[in-house]
Amino acid sequence: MLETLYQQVIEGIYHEAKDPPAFVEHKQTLSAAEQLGIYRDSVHGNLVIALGDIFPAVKEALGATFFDAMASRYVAQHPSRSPRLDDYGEHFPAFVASFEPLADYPYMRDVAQLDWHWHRLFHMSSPTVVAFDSLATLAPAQIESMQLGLIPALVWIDSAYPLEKIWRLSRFPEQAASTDSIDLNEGASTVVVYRFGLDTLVTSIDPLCRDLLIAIKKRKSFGTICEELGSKCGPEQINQALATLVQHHWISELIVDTESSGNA
Amino acid sequence: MTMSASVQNKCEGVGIGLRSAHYQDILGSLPDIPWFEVLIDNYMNEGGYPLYYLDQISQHYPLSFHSVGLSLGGMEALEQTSIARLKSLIDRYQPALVSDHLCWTAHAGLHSHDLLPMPYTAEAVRHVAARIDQVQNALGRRILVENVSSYMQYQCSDLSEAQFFAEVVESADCDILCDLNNIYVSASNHDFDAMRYLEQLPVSRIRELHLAGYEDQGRYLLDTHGEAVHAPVWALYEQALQRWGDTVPTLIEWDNNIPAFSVLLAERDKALQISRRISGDPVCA
Ligand SMILES: [Fe+2]
Repeated sequence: MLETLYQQVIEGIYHEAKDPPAFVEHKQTLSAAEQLGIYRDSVHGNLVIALGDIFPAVKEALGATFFDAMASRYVAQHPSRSPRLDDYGEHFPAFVASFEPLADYPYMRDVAQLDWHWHRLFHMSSPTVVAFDSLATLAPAQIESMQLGLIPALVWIDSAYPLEKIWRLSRFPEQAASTDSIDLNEGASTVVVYRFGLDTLVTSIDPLCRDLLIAIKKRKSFGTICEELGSKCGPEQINQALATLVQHHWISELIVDTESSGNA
Repeated sequence: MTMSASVQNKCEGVGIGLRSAHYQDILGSLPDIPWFEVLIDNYMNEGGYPLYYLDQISQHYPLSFHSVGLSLGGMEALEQTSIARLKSLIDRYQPALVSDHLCWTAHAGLHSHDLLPMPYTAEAVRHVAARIDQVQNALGRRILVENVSSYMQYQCSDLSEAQFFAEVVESADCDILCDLNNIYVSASNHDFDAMRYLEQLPVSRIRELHLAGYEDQGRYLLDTHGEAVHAPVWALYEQALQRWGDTVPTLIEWDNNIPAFSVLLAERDKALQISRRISGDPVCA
């Protein structure tokens, strides 16, 4: 009996039924459909609020009225499937990308993606980073074969637009000067969202740093990375890019082959 | 992380629901509040600022953990990951009380993130009591179960809500978190006598009271927890204390339209005045 009842209630909440719910008692003040409707409104309303909290830059960019109407359509198509409200909204960036009224705002999907990753990283553990003082003590063969690891709380987004600028303008409007304007044709960019201690940070990186992040993620040895990137730039630039990654505290692991040490 | 030695792991008097908007107020001035109630579902992630602040606050105040996500009345298997995480947080912070609601929140893989009412039947009593027992065993401690506000009554219910509540807690051998605002809201929506409800609860199991604000929607009351406590709920509080004495800890709950911390302190003061009036203690202005 409970099984059937719960099935009817949850269906009534997520999919509006044509017939009044027979399992609810009719009252003088509220019909059965109205009683169930209070729960439908409450569940939908809470999910719309949750989306606004998770996607603050999108909400700010589009305005609350437009955002809430769009979020409401999303909720109707995407019931929550996780016990954690923090998991809700995973498909929202794709929904934004295909949302017809936003056809003239092709960058909004990237803004949504940045908001989403920011939200996910906000709740992760503070990363531990590797001390790089040891690099100077390594033999050339060890540097060739060393493998690096990235902190888990790091994501990069490739965008055809100046994404960091667009996102900051919406996420922190109070920090923007009234004269700030963005040239949407400025060109493509790569934005990194990451944790530094408890803080969730956002920064843009150049194409070489991006290539380096990809290669490190694929667990390639530093020698292989230098060989592959060598066609695009010199060793100095690769070292410079690695220094950028280290300075941002993105490297969590340094695996060195002790066998190939020349001076151990 | 452990509580500093001077913090007693006990909830007494009138506590306040911990909300992120007030972290700075609390840590900045360490107000004289006997305990805070933590919406523990907001701290189930692995790290970040929420847990950092919880650590800080736990060093100065006793805590109670209040969960909304166990779906005690649900049909789906209890979420083992959530229970394990809750257990690890309990081990870490040693809260004085742990509670969830007499309701269900999910079914067939769909989650409502809302407190959905159960039907009041003998079958439902057996079902939810067995699940509360499972949770108590998994956590290795007693929990408190709270009555929810409701806007819908099922055809199949053949017990009153108060009978149902009383039978569940006896059968599961758990404690009661009695939300007086929720009783008032449901009593008004379903036309029953709130005081009569209180009389039916087993007094020895009542370990905590909740006070919160509702919104009058005209044809029904909506439990928003977004306003000050209303006069009829204060009146019910006074009657409850007259009946049960003033030793049960009380919580001021405010979840939406979060006001300045001082507003919650003023609500706390109102509760204290009533409590002192009942016990005959001099009322401090
Ligand atoms: Fe409550």
